[in-house]
Amino acid sequence: MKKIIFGLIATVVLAFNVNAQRPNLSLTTPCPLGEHPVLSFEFNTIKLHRASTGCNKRFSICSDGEWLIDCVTDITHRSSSYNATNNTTLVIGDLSNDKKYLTLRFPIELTKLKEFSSEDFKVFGFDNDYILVDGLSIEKGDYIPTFTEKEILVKVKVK
Amino acid sequence: MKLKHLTLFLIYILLASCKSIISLTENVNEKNKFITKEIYISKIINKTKFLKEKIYVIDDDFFSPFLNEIISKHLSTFYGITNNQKFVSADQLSVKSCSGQIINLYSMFLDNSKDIRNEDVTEIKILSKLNLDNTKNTIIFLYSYKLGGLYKTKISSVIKELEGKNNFDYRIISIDNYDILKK
Repeated sequence: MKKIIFGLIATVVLAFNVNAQRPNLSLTTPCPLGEHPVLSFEFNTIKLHRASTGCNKRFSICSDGEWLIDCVTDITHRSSSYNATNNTTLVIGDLSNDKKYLTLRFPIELTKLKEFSSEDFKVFGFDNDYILVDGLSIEKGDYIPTFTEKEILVKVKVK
Repeated sequence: MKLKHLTLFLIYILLASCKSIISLTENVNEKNKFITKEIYISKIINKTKFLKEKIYVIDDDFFSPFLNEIISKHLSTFYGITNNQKFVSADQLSVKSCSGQIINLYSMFLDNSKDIRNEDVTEIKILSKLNLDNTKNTIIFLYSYKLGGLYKTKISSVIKELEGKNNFDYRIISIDNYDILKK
């Protein structure tokens, strides 16, 4: 169950659970427990004038907008999932507070796929450091998965 | 006949959904996460060409009240203008992100116009975080990567227009704290 897992599945989406690290932040949130804030730019005016005239004269398009905060459900409440129709897997990654570990959560359905034997799931690992995104890589090595009823959990070292 | 209908339909689409079209073409409200502040700043510089020393990601302690102020005043891409003796808030603009209006406000600021409302700089706490040059007239912009390509018309065009004139300077305050994981 090394790199091959990423090769066999058509699309792997890694969603980082930023909320896992929230307790460390002094950032106060305007949202209730279980939700987190998302900033968005909301267009509120479209004037058909030119910006250089202060959006008051001549024929053009001048848009205006303001910032809004939406509260959305924390990803901790999302589960990993497998979609057999389009052969895609959603893998959730929970980053630890100290940013040294990432717990990958794979859907348990993977264990039932033909391309894997039960032996495959004894070890998860990489032969070389695996870059997830800029600034975050999984350290090479073998990691032992644990299993819940719905997910395969692998706690990996990141740097 | 078909062409006429098509034209009318396109005009209807343009007027009915300008907001959607602009959102789409300018990639507004894209979603992203940045692992570190350094990566965030590096990406912003690559994209916008803002000078690194002008970009400020404010501490989380200051962020929440600052964002509350932005939202309550309905500010958009401009925060205000200052020379460290006086401060003029961008909430005086009728179109809060209009580049023409901020340039006009800047001009009135330089002229000490009585038609604009000055505020006490000591009341504007965020100014102390921006390493302002007291000899300059500084426009403070509000930036998020969620502006997509809108930063060009809302911010870069203003900098380009005013750069090199009347001791102009600028600061960019990032409001992307929610999406930067390590600050």
